[in-house]
Amino acid sequence: MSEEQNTGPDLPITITPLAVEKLKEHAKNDNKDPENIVLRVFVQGGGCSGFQYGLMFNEDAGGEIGSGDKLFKSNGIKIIVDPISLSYLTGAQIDFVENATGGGLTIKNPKATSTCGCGQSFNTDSVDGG
Amino acid sequence: MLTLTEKARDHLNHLLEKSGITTPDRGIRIGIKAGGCSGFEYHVEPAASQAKLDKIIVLLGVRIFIDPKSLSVMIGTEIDYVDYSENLLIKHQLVFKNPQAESSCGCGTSFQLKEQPKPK
Repeated sequence: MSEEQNTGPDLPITITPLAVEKLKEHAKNDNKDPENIVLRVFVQGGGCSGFQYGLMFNEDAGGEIGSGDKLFKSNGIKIIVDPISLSYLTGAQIDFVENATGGGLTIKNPKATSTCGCGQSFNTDSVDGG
Repeated sequence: MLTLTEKARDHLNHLLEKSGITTPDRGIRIGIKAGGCSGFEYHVEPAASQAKLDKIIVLLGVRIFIDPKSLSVMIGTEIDYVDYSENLLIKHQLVFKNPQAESSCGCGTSFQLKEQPKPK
């Protein structure tokens, strides 16, 4: 894993306080330490709009750390992302959204040009090189 | 003509509690509107009382208000509250299993009809 641990204000991926609160609840319900959460964010092919987001938690997130992985810390949560996923996710924000029909974690991605109603699938026409 | 699962009941009761509405006649208003990615979408909101033409259906103790037009395209629908947490860790969504709907959007709240409802 990259040694780079970025905690500055210009993080490529951030998480909102509400999403952190919900993740802490999730950790407690799962008998995990809510103060030591590791989250992996990734993008994979699939879904109704071409790509879909995924999130993995704690040991699932850290179990397969690749050499190019980046690690950030936003609002106390460690976020791991692989470089290819990061190229689709720069500027993204992990949030928690709730309305009358349900609620859940969502990824607000400035690079997504279209997003499916499921909130999990998107398309893009801009990808960072490198 | 409509059914509600226990999980959906719990979610709707939670919505009512959160809404701050305390009238004895309160309930959940459910309706269908044009819109969404598949042509129609379900609309759900806590309400202090039914609207003028609404039917009242009590399901598992939850008072559901629904206008006759929406009811006609929802007959046979099971309302469920589904855990979609697999990919995004935390995600729950009301799902309408409507035998009259042909395709449903991934959001679970938008759909197309197999055939247009016939005018009375």
